[in-house]
Amino acid sequence: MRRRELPLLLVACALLSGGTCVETPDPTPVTATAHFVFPGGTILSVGEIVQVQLVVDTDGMPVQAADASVRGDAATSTLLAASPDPAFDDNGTLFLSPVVDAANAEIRRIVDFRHGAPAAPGTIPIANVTLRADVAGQSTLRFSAIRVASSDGVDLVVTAVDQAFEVIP
Amino acid sequence: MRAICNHLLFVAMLALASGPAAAIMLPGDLNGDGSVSLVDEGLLSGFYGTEAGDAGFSPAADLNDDSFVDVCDLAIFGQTAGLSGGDVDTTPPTLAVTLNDIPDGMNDVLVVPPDSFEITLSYSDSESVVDVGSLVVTSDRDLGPYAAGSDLGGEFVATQGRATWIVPAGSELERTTHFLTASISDLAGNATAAVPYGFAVRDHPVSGAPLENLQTVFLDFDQDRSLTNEIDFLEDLRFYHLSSTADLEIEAVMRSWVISEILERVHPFFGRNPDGSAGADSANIVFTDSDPGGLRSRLCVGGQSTQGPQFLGSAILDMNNANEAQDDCLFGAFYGVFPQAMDDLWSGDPGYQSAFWPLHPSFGGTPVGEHALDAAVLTPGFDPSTAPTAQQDRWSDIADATDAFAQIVATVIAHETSHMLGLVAHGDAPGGLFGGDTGTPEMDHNVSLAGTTPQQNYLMNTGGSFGFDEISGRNGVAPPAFRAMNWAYLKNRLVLDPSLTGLYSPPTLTAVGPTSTVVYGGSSESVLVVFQGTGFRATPTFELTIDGNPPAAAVLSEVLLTGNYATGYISPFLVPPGLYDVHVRNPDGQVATLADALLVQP
Repeated sequence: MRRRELPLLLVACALLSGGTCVETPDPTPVTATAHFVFPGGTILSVGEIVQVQLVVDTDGMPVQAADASVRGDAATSTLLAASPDPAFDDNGTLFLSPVVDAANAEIRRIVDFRHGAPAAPGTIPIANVTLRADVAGQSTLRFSAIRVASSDGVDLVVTAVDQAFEVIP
Repeated sequence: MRAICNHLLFVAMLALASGPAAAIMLPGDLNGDGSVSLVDEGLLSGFYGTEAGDAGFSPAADLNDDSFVDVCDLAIFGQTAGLSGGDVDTTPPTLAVTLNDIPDGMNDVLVVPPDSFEITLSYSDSESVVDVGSLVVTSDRDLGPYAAGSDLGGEFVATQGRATWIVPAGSELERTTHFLTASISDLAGNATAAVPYGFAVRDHPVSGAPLENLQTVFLDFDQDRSLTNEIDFLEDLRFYHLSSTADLEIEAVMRSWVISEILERVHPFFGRNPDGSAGADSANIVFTDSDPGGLRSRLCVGGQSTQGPQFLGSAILDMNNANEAQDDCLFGAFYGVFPQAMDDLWSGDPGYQSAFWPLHPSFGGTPVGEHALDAAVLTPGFDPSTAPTAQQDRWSDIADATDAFAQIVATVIAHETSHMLGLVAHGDAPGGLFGGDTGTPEMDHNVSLAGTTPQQNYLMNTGGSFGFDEISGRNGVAPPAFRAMNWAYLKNRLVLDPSLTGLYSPPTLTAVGPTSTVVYGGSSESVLVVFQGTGFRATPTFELTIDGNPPAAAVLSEVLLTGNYATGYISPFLVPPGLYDVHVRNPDGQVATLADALLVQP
């Protein structure tokens, strides 16, 4: 049977910086940090709708694909939608239609990838979540799940950072 | 959710670097057309989030071959997205046909009832996605309302890996050999060769079909078959220090608790909910600890077997609750379930010691009923999560031993009950039926076709073959389960019948001669009769009937078979005058009839 992996070998080899294809890759996990960026700061007014960026800071590895789920606080805010971030996305659509679970204040399956060249290492906004502030009070936006894969199909070890914010009248 | 991608693919890629160049497919080319396009992206999105074993999983979408379709595969896909010029897939899927998911090598000689069994197809394609709409299944004979040769593919519930169809109830399939033919294609258009599969339809060979109606098993925990003036099951609880004569009220609480745990654990073996109600895929049997009266089977639980201290249980056949003798727990403690064997079998096992020694005085434990905290922790409504640490610890010791005891007893009950229902070694009833642990190796349900015993933790393995963790399903070991063949018997009456050695065409009977020379009582000598037909197999039997009445006894002797002719002798004294239908029955159970074929003159 033919080996379908071979073309990928050629692709992956090209991505190895100065390496050859005869050595086993370093199994040391590459790390990344996932966090949220509120465009105008973390104080929102009741009724305000914002697009919060889901950002990954990688430690030297390019990012090819990401899969995130986020959870809000139903007592103070509503998660409305998720969309691709132009800085990462290259075709204007998410790979899947995210699941907006209003009952659990969660959006699951925010999945996107790049066609061809991966996003260079550094700070990479992978998607946006639209959030509406409903009730005054303290609130938190969390990653309920986050996975990020590099261009060779390897998981990055991601540290997810929650983000507190305040809703004011 | 999984956290780590499979790195093996990358290592494999490097290992291939020095290999010969070859035409290959592009990773991500899920439709096998030589390019990775938006079509493939759409396909991949449909498989995203699945894993091997899921109905929607496709190995073609698992680009790194780690049994998950996830972000790692998506990253690989991103690297090849938009590429073209790869090789076009020319490899068809693999396809296997069986009944009721029975994987055994002998599954092509299954004997099935005339309806209500399941045809199961499994297929796979690691190059391209399978086109489930391309499934074609035909039968060489009518299958219920479906004429021979018609395409049944649309009737199947098909996913990426398998397709199933239950032959409708009341189909009344012909009691003969049936052949199915199946094929399926991938999205690249590669079709499997037509895969044939044969099976034999017969009426159930022994004393009617089991489990047609709901069967009831009365688990009798109240017998004193050891004649010690004490109920055997209470002696068991004391033996394992799950109760004590020091506190009979607590003993009553423990007896009730343990029995309810046993009942809740035995039902799921048969696909039922713990309370005995039917589940989504359940066998037609229910257990109770109170005598329901009427037709039921009875299994006595308690004490030690008279067959020896290591006998966990024994049962005799009682299909359809029809064997009244079985109901009496016959022969002292010969038949039943015997918890005391657990100690003989596994007392040296660390798992056993971990479960029971905390209650055992010889090892520093305190029997239930003798500990100061027992009254508190066994009070209805006791919540260990909010209790003081000492009570939590005591509760934990009691619950752990109860869990082990109840699970093992439930397992043995399920095993013995299945014997009662017909899952025993091959042979004539009541010595054996369908799937025990002995018998002709190549036909036994608990061994492979090669005759070697597999290591799987099957419920119908012999009791002594289980380790403590295996039979109790503890310490990370999954509890025993029915082998697919056994479950198919309990669910749909599929059997392996030793008389069926191959899939043969049915016989035909075309002539009987002479037709009118047999004179009842006219001679003391037997009369030679010749039967002509096709498909006679060594050695057929011949029966005579009038108007469907039972055949006359022993009317034909010394049958000789020569090609399409069989000869035998009829004793005129044994066959009253009349015009008889003649039936030829091959050893595999197939029958042909020639009406009004033999005249016996007055």
